[in-house]
Amino acid sequence: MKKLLTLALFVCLPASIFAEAKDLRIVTLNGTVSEIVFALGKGKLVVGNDTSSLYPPEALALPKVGYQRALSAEGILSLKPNLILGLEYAGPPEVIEQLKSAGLKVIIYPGLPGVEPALNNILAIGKEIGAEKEALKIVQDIRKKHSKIAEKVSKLKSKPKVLFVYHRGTSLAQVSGTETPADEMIRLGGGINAVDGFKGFKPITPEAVIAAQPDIILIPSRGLESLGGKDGVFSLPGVKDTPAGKKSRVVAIDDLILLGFGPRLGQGIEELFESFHLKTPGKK
Amino acid sequence: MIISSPETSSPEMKSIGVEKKKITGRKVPPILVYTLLAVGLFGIGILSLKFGSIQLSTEEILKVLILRQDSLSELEIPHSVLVWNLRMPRLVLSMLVGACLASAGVCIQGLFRNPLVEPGFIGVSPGAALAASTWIVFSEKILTFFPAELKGKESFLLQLCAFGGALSVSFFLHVVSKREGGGFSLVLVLAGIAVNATVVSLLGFLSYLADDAQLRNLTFWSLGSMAIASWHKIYLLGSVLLIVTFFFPVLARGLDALALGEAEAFHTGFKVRRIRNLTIVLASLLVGVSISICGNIAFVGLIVPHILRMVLGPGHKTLLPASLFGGALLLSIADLAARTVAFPSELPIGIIAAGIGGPFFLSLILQAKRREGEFR
Repeated sequence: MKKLLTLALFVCLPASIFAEAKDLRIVTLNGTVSEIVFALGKGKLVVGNDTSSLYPPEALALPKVGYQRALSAEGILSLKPNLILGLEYAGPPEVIEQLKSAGLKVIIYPGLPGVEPALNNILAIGKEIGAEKEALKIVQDIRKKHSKIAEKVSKLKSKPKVLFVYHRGTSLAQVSGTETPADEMIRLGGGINAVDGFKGFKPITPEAVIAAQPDIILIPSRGLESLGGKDGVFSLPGVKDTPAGKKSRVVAIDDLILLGFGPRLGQGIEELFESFHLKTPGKK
Repeated sequence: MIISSPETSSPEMKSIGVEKKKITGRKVPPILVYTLLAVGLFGIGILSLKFGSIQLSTEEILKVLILRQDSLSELEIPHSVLVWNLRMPRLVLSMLVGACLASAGVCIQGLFRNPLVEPGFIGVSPGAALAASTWIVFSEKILTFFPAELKGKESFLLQLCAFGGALSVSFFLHVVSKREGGGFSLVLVLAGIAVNATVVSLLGFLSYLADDAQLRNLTFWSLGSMAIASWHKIYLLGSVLLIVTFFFPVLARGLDALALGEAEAFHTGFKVRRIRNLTIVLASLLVGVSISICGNIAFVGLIVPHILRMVLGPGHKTLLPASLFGGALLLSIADLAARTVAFPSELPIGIIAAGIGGPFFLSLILQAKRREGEFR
């Protein structure tokens, strides 16, 4: 009898966990969070997400509840979720409060750029949606890639100066100062941010671009597209007269890989290191 | 510039071939207009509570409204939460903001004796938004010794700053346009444009100084939203509106007298300066506080008084309270549209207000142009 009970318990326990996980209806409020949930193999549980959820393609096809910073409570409720996951940018704060007051489970994770915060988020989300193993696997993978590159970076004799240009359309060009995801990624990839005089993003004058003397221009793929390719980057005022312009070195990486600090962080660090150090014309 | 001009040529009258006639009195009994507005508000109220993520029947709504606890059933999201926590605050806030902006519109039109002005485009609302934005950026950057609860967006000092911003712009415009001697205030409109341009540039400068989190708060002013509705904000705005309505009788008599011209008003025994100052302060209070709560929403203060002046005539005794209800009706309709048109996303309410208001304003200008002499 006792054996039978134990057996029954063993059979029921995983089954109940499974049932709970399967009944989840998740709304994700941020591109990185969406990517994490899909990477953990729980994409089927997601019933809606925000407009910054661009990857994977399945995430793109889901109902959109607006941009992560301009959400509406009713829109999210209409998808009948029972779990809402977002990063701290999700808002306005009043809407998050409204969702909580409607009795929904809303979890907001910190959005700090950096390897450790990113890994913590992946583990926390994995725990929340019943995919701890998968989360651990992704985390280990990122750690492995990160430490491999970190070792290589520590051995570098010289690091290139990298200017991150954030660009949309034809008018808005801003560069990244310190304390931004781009700044952190440049460091992780073994480069030096060419501008460190200010925090966050600022529009920059052609003269300052030249004064910064970047060896490489780093730009998210969508930004490169909106400029119409590499030629567009070099036509930005000042860029042509920098070392990067003279050697025509532009590095473009998918927006979410580059700035998302999500499950593809390891891949992002590798790609950056390679494009900073290996693909140098006339290899060092 | 004659205050009674807009009601002389309503499109309906033209279409049925009625000759343009100068009518200074009322056309429709006020009681009928008030009844219609009340019915409209009630209807929109029901519709707003009905539509959204889950459609409720009128019965269910009434049940929730009357027996609040009763409907706390095992539903996924209890109806009472839906009604009381989500839809009701939005509805009430949009009504209050609409009422404030429309009443402020009447006051400012009366004050400047120009039915084509509105707090939004002579710079009063942008002035409020600028002051509020300045507070958000500087309270966190410079006033670091301030207690945290007095800083940033949640502090009541934000409302105070917005009021101050609206007040300074109103006074400035008043001083500038007064010098002109009370004719059509081209100077007023030009000064308004100048104020707006200055505000835009200063807002640009602020957004340059702001960090990422503050920037998010700043962009909020440009289009407005009701998604931030909470009962706390409703009590605040509600008490401001309540205070102002106590002054409605005084304002109405004063603005009617001002319509005759300042000298005439003075000779009929009105304390012109006191009335003017009172109007400026109250209108700025209405604009400042509502803008600081839900962002810059233009045109409400133009459309509502205009339509109501067409049907009620220019007397402020009826126009002021009617605009209050009319504004509530217009903005609650706009909010219902804002949250249902692009469902499950949400449109900024300012887009809808400007989308209706822009063409309306253009048609007003064209009408005014047809009546020669308006733009001398």
